This record gives sequence, C-alpha cells and structure tokens, in this order.
Amino acid sequence: MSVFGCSAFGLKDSVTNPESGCLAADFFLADVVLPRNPLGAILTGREAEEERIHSGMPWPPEAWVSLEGYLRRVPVSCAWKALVDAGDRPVRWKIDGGVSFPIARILASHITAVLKNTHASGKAGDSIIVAIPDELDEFGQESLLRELKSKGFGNVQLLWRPIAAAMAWIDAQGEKLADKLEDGDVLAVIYSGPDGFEFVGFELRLRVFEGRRYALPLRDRPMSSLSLAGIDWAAGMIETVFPNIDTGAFWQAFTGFPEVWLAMAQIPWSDNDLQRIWSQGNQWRYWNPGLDMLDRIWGVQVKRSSILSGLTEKSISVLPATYHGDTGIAWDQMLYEQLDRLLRKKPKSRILGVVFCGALTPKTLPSWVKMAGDTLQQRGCKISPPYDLPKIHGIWMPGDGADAIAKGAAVYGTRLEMGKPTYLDTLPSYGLWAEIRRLGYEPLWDFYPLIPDKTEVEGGKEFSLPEPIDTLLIKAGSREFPMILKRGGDHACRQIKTSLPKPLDADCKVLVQATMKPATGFAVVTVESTDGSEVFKRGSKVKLNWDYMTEAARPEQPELKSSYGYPFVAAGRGRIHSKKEKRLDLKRFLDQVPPTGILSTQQIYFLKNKENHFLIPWGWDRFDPESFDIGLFGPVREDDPEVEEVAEKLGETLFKTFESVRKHRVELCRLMGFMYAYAPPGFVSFLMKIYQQGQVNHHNLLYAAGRVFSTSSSLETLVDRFNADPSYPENNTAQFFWAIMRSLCYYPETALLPPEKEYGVFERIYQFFCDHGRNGGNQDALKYGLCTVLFGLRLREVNTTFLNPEDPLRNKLSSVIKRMRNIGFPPTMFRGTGVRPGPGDNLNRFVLRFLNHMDTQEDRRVAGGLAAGG
Amino acid sequence: MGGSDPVAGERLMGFFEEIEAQIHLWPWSVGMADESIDIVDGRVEFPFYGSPTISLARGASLILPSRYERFLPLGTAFPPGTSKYQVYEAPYGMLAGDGRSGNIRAKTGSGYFAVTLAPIGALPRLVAGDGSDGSSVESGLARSVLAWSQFFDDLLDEAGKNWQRGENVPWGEVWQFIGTLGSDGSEPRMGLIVKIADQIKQKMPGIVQGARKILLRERQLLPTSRVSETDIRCLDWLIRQPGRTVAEKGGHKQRIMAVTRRESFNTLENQVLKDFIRRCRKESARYLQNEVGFDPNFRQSKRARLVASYQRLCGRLLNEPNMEEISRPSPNSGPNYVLQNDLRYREMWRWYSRLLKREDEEDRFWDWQTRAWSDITRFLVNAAMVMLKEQYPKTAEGEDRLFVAEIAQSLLHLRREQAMGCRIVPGSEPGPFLVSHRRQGKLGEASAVLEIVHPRDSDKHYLAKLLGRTGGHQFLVLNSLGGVTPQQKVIVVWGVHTAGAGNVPQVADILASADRALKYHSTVLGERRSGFPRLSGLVLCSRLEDVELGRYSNKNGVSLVSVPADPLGWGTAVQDVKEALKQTFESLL
Repeated sequence: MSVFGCSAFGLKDSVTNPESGCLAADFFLADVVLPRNPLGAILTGREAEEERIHSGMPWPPEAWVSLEGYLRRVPVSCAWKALVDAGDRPVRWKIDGGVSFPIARILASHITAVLKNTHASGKAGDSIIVAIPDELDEFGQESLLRELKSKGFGNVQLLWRPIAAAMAWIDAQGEKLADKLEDGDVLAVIYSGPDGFEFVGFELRLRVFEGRRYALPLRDRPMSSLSLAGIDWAAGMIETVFPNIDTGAFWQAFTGFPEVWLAMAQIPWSDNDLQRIWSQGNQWRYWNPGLDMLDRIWGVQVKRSSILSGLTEKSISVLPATYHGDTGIAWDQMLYEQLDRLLRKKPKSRILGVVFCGALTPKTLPSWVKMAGDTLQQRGCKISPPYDLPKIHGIWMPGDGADAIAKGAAVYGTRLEMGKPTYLDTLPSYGLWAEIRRLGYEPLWDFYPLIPDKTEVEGGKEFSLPEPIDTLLIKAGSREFPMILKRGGDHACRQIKTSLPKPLDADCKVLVQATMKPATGFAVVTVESTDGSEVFKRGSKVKLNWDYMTEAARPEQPELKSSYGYPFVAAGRGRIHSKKEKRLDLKRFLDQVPPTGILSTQQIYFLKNKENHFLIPWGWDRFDPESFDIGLFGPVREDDPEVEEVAEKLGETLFKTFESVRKHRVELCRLMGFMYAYAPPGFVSFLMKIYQQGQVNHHNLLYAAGRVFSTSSSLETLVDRFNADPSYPENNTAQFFWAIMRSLCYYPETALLPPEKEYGVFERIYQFFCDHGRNGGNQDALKYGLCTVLFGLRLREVNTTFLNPEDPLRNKLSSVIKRMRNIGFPPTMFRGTGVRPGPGDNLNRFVLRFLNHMDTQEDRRVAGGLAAGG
Repeated sequence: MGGSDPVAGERLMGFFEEIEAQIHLWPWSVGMADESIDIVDGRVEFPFYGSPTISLARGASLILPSRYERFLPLGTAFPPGTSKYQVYEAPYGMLAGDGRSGNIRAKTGSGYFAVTLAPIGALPRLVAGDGSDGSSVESGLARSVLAWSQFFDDLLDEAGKNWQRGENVPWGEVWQFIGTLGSDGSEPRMGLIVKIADQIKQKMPGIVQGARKILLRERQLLPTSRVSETDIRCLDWLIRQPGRTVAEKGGHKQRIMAVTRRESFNTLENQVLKDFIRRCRKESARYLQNEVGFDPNFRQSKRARLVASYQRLCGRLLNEPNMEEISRPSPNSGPNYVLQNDLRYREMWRWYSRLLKREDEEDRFWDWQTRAWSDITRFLVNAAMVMLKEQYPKTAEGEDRLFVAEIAQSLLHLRREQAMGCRIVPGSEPGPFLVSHRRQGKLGEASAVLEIVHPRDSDKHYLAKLLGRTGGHQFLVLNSLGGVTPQQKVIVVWGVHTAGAGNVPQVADILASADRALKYHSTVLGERRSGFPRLSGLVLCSRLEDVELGRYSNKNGVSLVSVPADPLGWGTAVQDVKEALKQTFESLL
C-alpha cells in the first residue's frame, strides 16, 4: 500500500510519498487549457504550459486575450478560488460557443495529472490524500470527488489543507508534544497560496491509542476569511510594476513567468533565469523584472485587479459571499490584520506554534509577522531563527522542497491506514423539517438536527445520531413523500419528493438518519420504514441526494391540530433579563447585605415593597404579549449567567434569613415563592419536607409551593398532602386547588405526575363540586377547582388515555360541571390575547370543552390567562 | 469582346466602366505591367503558369458559376489606407478547359457580368488512354492532385490512430509523417479503395448473403382455393363484382382479390449495399488503371492484389440472386435505422459515405487545385520550420549556427472535407519561434521572434496587413530582439502550381520575376511608410517530372524550391525548404 499526499493548488504543486519523498513542480502558475468541444481532452501540466491558446502573446490570434472575450486557459488557482467562492452553487467555466466545463472537472484533470507525474494511480493499492481549502463547501467536495472518480481515481480522500499542515508539524514533534500540551493551547496555521489565504487556529486534544498519546488538532467550522487571494496580489503587483500594461502582456506575466510568484515568496532569482520572451503590444522583448519587486510587493494595495477580473469575468464570475470591496490598504497590513484577528479570537490561549504553508510561504520572516511579534511573544511563541525547523513555541516556515501540506496529507493517509487517530473535525449541521415535541408546549415544526451543530468527529470516521428521527410518517393514500432538509446555519432549505410505487393503505412511520464523514461531501441521509415494509421503489430504505434536491423556501407551520384535550403551560417570563436597571438595583441591594448573609427587617421590607419592583408582581405590561403579573422572576429560566448569578445570591440570602430569623418566616416564604423557577433549592426541599410531614400551618406555604414546585416529584408531595388531608374540605381547600393548578400551569415537567395521584385530586374536586357547586359558598374554591381540572388534563399529554370518554370519572366530572353554578371568567384572563369571550360563555363551559376534546386554538391561547395573577 | 459568350441579360459594357480588373501571371505580379493583363473585354487570353491571380477593384466579387462559389480573397486589400483593390486566387478546373466554358462571373452593384478566361497551356484532367478503345484516363497531374486529398486523409487517419486528438495533429509529428511517405517504393499510392478493401473485404460476402429481407403485404387476384386472408379492401372489391356467390364473383378464371405476402430484399439498406458494391468495383478499376497501371512492380504489390481481388469479389456479389431485384437508392436519401445501428450495415454505410464524399471532393479539389497547392506550400513551409526547431534546438552547443526554439506549441488542425481546395484550418500554423543566430558566442545578439501569418489572418497582423499586394500565400515575420529599436523582416512565401502548366519558364526566370516583383513591392510599400521592413521571398513550385527539382536562390534573398507534385516526394522537398529557410534566416539575422 502506497500513500500519496497531494497539494495541487496551482503553484509549486507537490506530491509526497513516504517512500519516495516529495516531488514538487516549478514556480509556475499551473494552467489548464480547455478544448472547444465539450467532449475534448483537457490539456494539463506541461502540455498546457507550452500550448499557445490564450497565452496572451500578440500572435497568432488564438493566443490573444481580451477583456471582452472568453478564456480557454484556466489558471488552476482561479478555478480553486471559484469553487470555494461558489459555495453550494454549481459553477462552470464558460468558453466560446455556449460550451462550459464544471470547475470541479477542471480541477480533477489537474490533480490527476499531478498525481500521474508521481506514478500515483487510481488503483486500490494506492491511498491518495488530496488537500482541499478549509472553506470548500460540501457541494464542492462532492463534485470534486465525483470528477476524480470518473477519471479513475476513486480511491482519493480529501483533507483540509490547514489540518494537513498542522499534522505535519505535530508529526515532527513526536510524543514529546503531549507532555508540553496544556489546555487551550492553540496551533496557528497560515496558508498563503495563489488561490487564497487562510488563518486558522487549532486547539489540540490528546487521544491515547495503543498506549501512545496523540495530539489531534480540532478543526472548527471555517470562518469566512480574506476574500482576495494570491492571484489578486500578483495581479496588483504586475499592474503596479508595469503601469499601463496591455492585457496580453499582463496575462503572459501572470500565467507564464515565475518571478512574480517568487517575489511574493521572497525568493530572489538570478539573471541567468531571465531568458523568457515577453511581448508588450506588438513588440517582443526579454522579460527582465528587477529584484526590487521583492520589496515592492508589500506596498501593493489590497484590491481586485481590474485587468484580471476583466479577463476572467466573462468565463467565470463568482463573488465570494463575504466580499466587502477594496480596502485601500497595503497587503502587509492586511495580512497583519488577519493574523491579529486570529490571535484575538482566542485571546487567552498559549500559541503552541505558527505553521506557514502554501506555495507563497515566505522564505524569510515577513514584516507583517514581525508587526505581530509582541503579541506572539506574549502568547508564548518565540520569534527566533531558524524558521525552517518545526519547533514547539516557534515559527515554522518550511524551506524549499518541503511542502507541509503534502507531507501532512501523507501523514494523515499513513495514520488512517494504521487505524491511528488523525484529527478532530466539526461537522456542518443538517436539519430535517419535522414535528418537534416539547413537554408542556404545543408541538412545533422546525428543523430537527440530523447532524447537530458543532458535532465533533474524528477525521476519516463516520458520524451518525445514535437514534434516528421517528417523528415523520407517510400518510395513507399519498403517492409521494416530501422531505425538507437544511444544511449549515444560513443555507437555503432543499426539498425532495420521493415517489412511492403505490399509495399506502395506512400511515407508515419512517426513521430518518444521517451519516457523515469529514471532508467527503454531503451527509448521507437515509429514510427507512419502521416496520420494514417496502414503501419505496427500492425497498424499505431510500437514500437522499442533496444534489438532486430542489431549493425551497423555509416551510410554513403545518395546520395545527383542532383539539388537543388539554392546555399547554403558561409560563411567564420574569423581567430580570429585560429590565437591566432593575437587575442592577437588585445587585446593588445584594452588595449591601451584611457579611452574615442575613437580611435585616428593613431590607426584607425593602424587598417586599411593591413599589421597588423586585419580587412582588408589579403589574401587566400591555406592550409585552408574554407579560404576566409577575416581578423580576418567573417560571421560565433565562439563559443568562448574570441573571443566574443574581438569582443564586438572592436565593441564598433569603433562604439563610428564612432559616435564621423565625420572625419573618411567613413573609420570606412568600418572597421566595415569587422567585418561581429561581427559588433556592433548599427552600423547595423545605417545602417538600413540610408536605411530607403534613405541617401546613399557613397559606403562604401553599402559594409558594404552587409557584416553585416545578417537578412531578415535588408536586407529588403537595398532591399527596392534599389527598391525605383529613380536614378536607374545610381547611385550605381553595389554596390547595390554587397551588396544584399553578404548578401544573407553570411547569412542563409536572405533567409527569402519576395519573393515579391526579385521579385522587379529581375525585376530591368532584366531591367538592357535588357538595358546594350549587350553593353560593366559596366561589374562589369553585373557580380554582375548575382551573385544577383544566390544567390537570395536561396529564393527557403524557397519558393519552387519561380521562378518556370511557372513563366514569370524566363523565361524572362533566355532568357535575354542567350542573354546578356558572363561574365567570377571571377579569384578567383575556387580557392581551386579542380574544373576546363568546356570549354566554363561562369558565364551566371553557373547562368542559377541554375535558370533552372540543377545545379550540383560541381556548388554548387564553388558558394561560388563568394564571395571570401571578 | 470577340469570342465571348455573355449570359443573356448581362451588360458587358457596364462592367468595364465600373470595375478595374487585371489578371496576373504569377501571384506576385500585381503592379508588374509585363506580367499583368487588363480585363477590358469579355474574353482574356493569357499564358498559364499555374497560379494566376486576379486583382479586382473593391466592391466587386468573382463567382465560379458552375458551383456558384465565390472567389476567396488572398490577403488584405491594397493599397493600405484606401484598400482599393483585392487579389483573388483563380480556380484551375475551368481554366484547364476540360469541357468547361472558362466562364467566370463578376458581381458588382449593377449586376452580374460574365468573363471568359482563356489560359494557354493549362493541363487537362483526362488524356487519351493507351488502349485501343479510345477511352480517357486521368492525366499525371490529375493523379497527383487527387493524391493530395488522399495525403490529408491518411494524415487524419494517423492522427485518429496515434494521437487521439481528433482532427488535430501535433506539428512535431507531421514532418515525421511526411518523412515516412514513399519509404516503400514497391507499393502504389494509398487510396480510399485500398482502405475499404482492407477493412471490409472479408465481411462483404456475409453481409450480402445475410442481407435483410422484408415481407411485403400485397393484394392479388388469387384462385379461390388459395385464398387464406382478406381485408376490407378485398371485400370492397368482392362486393363490387357481379354475381351472388363467391364462385359467381370469381368469374370464369375463378380468382378473387386476396392478401398475399412476398419476401423482398429491396430495402433502403440493401439499395445502399448494392450501390456501394457497384461503386467499389468501379473505384477498384480506376485505382488499378490509374495508380497501378502496367508497372510490373506495382501489379505484384500487396495493395494491387488486394484491390484486384476486391474488385472480383464485388463483381461476384453483384451477381448474387438476391441482388437482382434491388433498385438504386434515391439520391440524397439519408441513413435509416438499420444503416445507423445494424453492426454489419453500419460499417458499410460509413465507407459508403466516405466514397460518395470523395467523388465530390475530387471534383472540387481539381477545380481549386491552385488554392490546394498554396495550402500545401504553407504546410511544407510550416513542417520545415518545425523540422528546423527539432534539428537546431536552443540547447545545442556550438557557434556560428542557427538555433530555433518554439515559444509556444500548437496543433495542425485539419479539415475532414476540403474548403475550396484547402484542408488546413487557417490559424493552425506553428509558432511563434525564437530564431537565434549565434555568431560570436553571445546568444541573443542576433535573435528574433518569428511569427507565421496566414493570408486569411493577415488583416489582424500589424505588419502583414500591409502586404496584400504581394499576393503572398504566407508571411514569415521576424521581429528582432534585444536591439534598441525593434526591427522587422518579412519572408513572403508563394506557392506556384507550375505542375499544372504546359509551358513553364525556367527556374531562373521565375526567380528573376519574383525578385523583380519583391523589389517593386518594397519600393511601393516603402514609399508609404518609413523604415518598412526588408522583404525576402520563398517560392515553392510544383513539378510533375523530376526536372529542375531542388533548391535555388539568388543573391537578393529570394529562394525557390521545386517540389514534386506527388506527395511521395514531399519528404525530400521539406528538407529543401528547411535548408532554404535556414539560409534565409542566417542571411537576415
């Protein structure tokens, strides 16, 4: 088995084989010459270099290039850049007569030619690793692999070029690297080539394999980097050194002469090399650039070359998504800014080393690296020669004849062959449009992660979700099965409608799973029927091909179910997140708490003063549709560390005071209740203990339980207490109803309460309605009883058979609610919902609609209003 | 006007008033009074030297009425600036008599005018045969001219076989291919029929014996006892017959209309097959008569025996019983499904198409043979340049010698069919070349870049566009390198088809004529532009016999290479052209 690492980006292309070493091309910009006929042979390598077609010479006419014409000569670096810039769009190089070629085919022709020069073959015995740009989209990877396969190189694997360079560096360090590695250390890789610049930082992770520790670079999803490339720099330099140059002369210098590129790599040349013939206008002369080009290169302005873009724009015009126009600064400044940006991305990390790679790697330390010298030194990277040796905490600029990318690719291939760890990659996310269920909330259609965001996987290894998605089903009678996928963060959705061989007799549930390998194109999405029935043309399974999917807009939410038979949670949000000034007030207050952590009476009064807008609800905000009559805290926890910090400190203080100062316990119990989901855990445990022990001696204990019992286990203690209380119905009935109702109303997890417990509550409510439903006694208790029935129905979300039509309790409840006196809607229930109660409607009818599965969307929307009072 | 035969309705007098036209005996003769004849009448007589040209005032055009082909301009219009006149190459066929009228038509803004050209000394296509039957055979010139077409076909076949570049041939391979021509003197020239015989001879008996047949459904009056199938039309017929019963309707012959089925070989594919066999037999006979003749060496050659045996096979196949009823295919009938897809017929159809095309090609090639010779001249000069590059590479050591390097490479692009005599696509000339003459150990002291300019593209070349009046068939432009002020020199290449003329002047006279013309053109062009480049000339004359073959030159930089018209002699001719070029470069650099 021979391993070949290939770096073929169009300048000094090289192939490394562990046995035969590195073979690199000369410092010429590699071209590919396209045939007139779409089926003709694409000329590559030396043949293309020697061919005169569109070479820019003044004679013959087929050598001419013009700003208005097409080009049959394609600089390989331009093709790479176009493939990267195109993202997930197909991109072709156009020539005369309506003929065009896929860019991937052009690149595959070039790569195979480079490989064949080194006797690498497409046979199974050879393992070929081809480096690709860090930002190459999966679409580009897929098309490149397809074209390589069609040219007989089906055994090619792709590898990110910064990873390849990092692996070459890591491999050179040996095992000693693992000893010196600290958490958060970063290896910086700088690629500079004609097709682009990449500034990438890799954190290193340790993996143990067969008793040996390996440091693996962790690749993050690429950030969009510099939109201009080495070709723009070279073009800018030619225009600077030879002002008013004609297009033909420009093109000859750009594609034909190495001195332009040597200057960028800071490699001087000798006069003996300058025997090349050049033409300007109709005059022929010797190409004789001065060595001052080596200095002038840094002062070249960063901008798109008008001649280069004019020459190529008819054949190809792909602008990168991130192109922001000309910056007007010089290239050394631009490169320094990129390096600085990289260093600032992880400001606290140690720099383990800086690896330069790519054909334009400077031979000497460039000025833009010196500009960042202080920062590098501060971060642990020494700036001292020699630079051509890969040292830990040093700068590595591989010298002539060494190509870090090709070498690293070969290292990767060798490790892969031996099953050793290679690198870690972060996969792009894939989402499937599917119904997403969240306990307590109405089911929502959204993109379910097939490949979750920031999924890490080892290079060369495959990733798939442990469990397939099982929420999709093929409806009975349908002839096709539509699916919508989304790739990456902001990519467009794509849709495919898989034709079914025959309409199904019954709904068929399907499992969807995605598998993906780094740098191998798109994820493979498989759809399979759950019961193994052959619902698809090719059996029970079908694979989706992203290429064949059509672009689609983000789908609309499907029509909602008419009835669920239960309401959803009505969890209001506290205002601590949105009211920054109040949060600061609270922080200031907490800063004044004595070191003992116990609040003074005055401070307790300050906290409970409604006017101070802390814990006590301070009213409804008509401009906030999600607003409830609550204070700083609510039943929903915000994803805000600052809020968490304040809440934790407040909770600790209150609970400590609660435990220490008996005088204010009732009041503090009330205040802690108003902390809802943020209530101190000790307080929740305290309440649970109270209910287990049956020591309910004041109402605030019940109110607080309703507000802070967020789990089924905590609610269970309350329910058990209620069911076991022998004093029923005389004592605290309304408060118990209130507390159980609130807990079910606020917190999704309470729906997991064991049904038999809820049955006990419902039996008691039934009894209460029978006893008091017709007289004018405790109207609040009747109201809260009805609300408890309503939110108790949330158990149906988990147990679909809970209180089903055959259940006698349901029928009993239904008839008693019908018979009892009508209870009006609370005045705040419809506030802010835009819904008005129907004529003659009341709370009894409202609850009955849910009980009998006749609830409407409006009913579900206003149900939360029953908890509006805080 | 005497002897002219104007087409009815054409106004001759207007023509002479409107346009100025001259016929020139040599391509370089524009402006040379003693070698130019004014067309002031409906008929012009002139001595024919092989490649006469016509200069015509711009706005008019010339048409060959027999094919309705427009004459193509040679180079750019002149004089530079006003572009008042344009040189055209004259076709050969109608000039050589050959049963044609010699009429050409001129088109102006006022209409068409006919002119009869009467060349003296143009060789005919057919000559009397040696046999006593009084039949004509193709002349030596005709055989050579037709061999040119075959030469390009062979080159194309070679390109397809060896270089996988379709119709493109690497220039580096071309001169080697020329070198292989005539290497086997015991074989007659290659011909299409040889290839057909070689490729398909074994398969033909199988195709004919297994020819596809069809069952034809016909209605006939059959004895009532043999009727097995009828249809609605038979019943219609029966109803119309008098009588009540079938027996009564059958009449006294007892026959009624019924459907019968009959086998037939008369399908389009078999019509083509039969026509192909017929044409192959005719072509074989022609090959044996013209190419093999009575030469005892050739008669025993492999090719001659192959073609003779194929001819006999064709005769036998035509007498097969199933060939009898097959009629001729209707003209211009395209291939049907069988011809395109049946493995046996498909190959036959491919050769049949080539055979048909070749016959038409031969006529056109004959008519435009002067242009064909110009094309071959360019081809030989370009091949010689590539040979120079191979033999004098820049990497070689030594002083006082020439070095040639190709700055960029190109491919010779051939046409499958001739375009008014030309098989080479303009623009596929090799180069540019770096030509250096190392004199005193300092390379680059006398170096120049050589650009090869086809006259069709000369309007795009900054210098060659001024040279339309020279009638050059190719321009080799040398641009000096390394000097303070750039200097150019031009070698004008002319191809003169002297093989087509009966009375050709001596080589020395031709050289002298070209030399005089070159001086004249230099003077005229130099008057209009200061520092006009020095002009040199290279003339390639075709010859039928082995007289005066070889390389000649004069002291003023005009060279002449006498090239055999037969492609078998081009291998030697390229060497001569190469030497002539070398000598010219050495004198210019």
